[in-house]
Amino acid sequence: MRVLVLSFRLVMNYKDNIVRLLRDELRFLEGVTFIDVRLLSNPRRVEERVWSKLLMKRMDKLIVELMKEEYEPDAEDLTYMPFAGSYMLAIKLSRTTVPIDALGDGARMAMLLASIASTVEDTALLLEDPETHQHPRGLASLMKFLLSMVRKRRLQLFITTHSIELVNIIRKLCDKEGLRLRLFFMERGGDGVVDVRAMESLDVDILLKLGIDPRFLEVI
Amino acid sequence: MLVEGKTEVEVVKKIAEKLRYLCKTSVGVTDCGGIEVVPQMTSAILALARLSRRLKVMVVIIDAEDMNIEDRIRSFADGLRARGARVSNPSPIDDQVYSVKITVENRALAMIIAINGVFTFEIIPEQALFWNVCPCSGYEMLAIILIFHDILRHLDWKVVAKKMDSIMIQEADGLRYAF
Repeated sequence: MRVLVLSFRLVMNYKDNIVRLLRDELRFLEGVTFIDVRLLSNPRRVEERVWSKLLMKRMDKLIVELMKEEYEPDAEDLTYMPFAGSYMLAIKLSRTTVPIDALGDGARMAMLLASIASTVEDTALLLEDPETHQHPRGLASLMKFLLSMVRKRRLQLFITTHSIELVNIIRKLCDKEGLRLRLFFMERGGDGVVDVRAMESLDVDILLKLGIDPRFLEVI
Repeated sequence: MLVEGKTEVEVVKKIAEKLRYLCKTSVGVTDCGGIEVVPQMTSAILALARLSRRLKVMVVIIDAEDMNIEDRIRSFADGLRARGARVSNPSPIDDQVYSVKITVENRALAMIIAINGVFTFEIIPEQALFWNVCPCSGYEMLAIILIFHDILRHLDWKVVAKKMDSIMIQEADGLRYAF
């Protein structure tokens, strides 16, 4: 019995030590945030979860800057306006105020994505096809914003994409910002097993020079 | 197959097209127009070797520059080794064509290295080329394409293509026998 108690204590101490030792890693994993098109199609859900945090830290100013840069040049501020017995997030333009639901799909998704990215830190952000509905210039601005968050908020980005434009934009930005980038080509074989080929940015350069689109690596 | 310029690509394509009915090997040809120096070409080879899954044989054509063929092959293989590839000793397929086995991150594939710019023969009657080739596999077919390519590179490819038509028609039986 004494031995058992001792063992239990040892186990508990061991667990505490592990938790203490891996505190940063556990915090990193707890904060991992997955953003897909379905989430971005539901502005209310994003608002409820992130907007108060955003306003508390006045990160909304950054969102307005992003909007001004590419999507709504005359954007002035963000506000809540009464709507159908409730309040909804809206963007103040120079002559009118537009609920974010009424923005173009690209602008709305960029705004929501940037809002989420601005409120998480010391963790990983998983983005699914952020190029959806984006004009290449808008996409470049959005990626610039997200990569600036990577530095400021110590984030690791995992992005899935079908867009070579996105790949090239990110390669250029990472190069400029000195951020580490790795690319993975994923292909599911006939047996259902996913084959992964890891690439550096330089490999993409080489493939493009050889006339091989890195999205079609299955041909080789 | 990595060749130097667009003209070479056209020549190789034309020859491969002509030989298609004799051999089912699938050949992809790309020019290294954007990759001008050999160190960059070796990087391209290493990247392809590492990233490919279906590639069985890689073919490269490099200039002899000021070296003799053996030195050029050795220097090229050393260049690959210096970048982390394991490269077997080159074994000759033809005067200017060698084969090696290259291993990059546990991916092994055959490579044919052909040297351009050293000519050890006079103008050879085209038929002689056909008569001299032996029955061969798709792997060796690539080497033969290279020999043709090497000879033809100093000619206008359109002229070559026309010539090829007549040679192929006249010598089709001989070719079938040869392959």
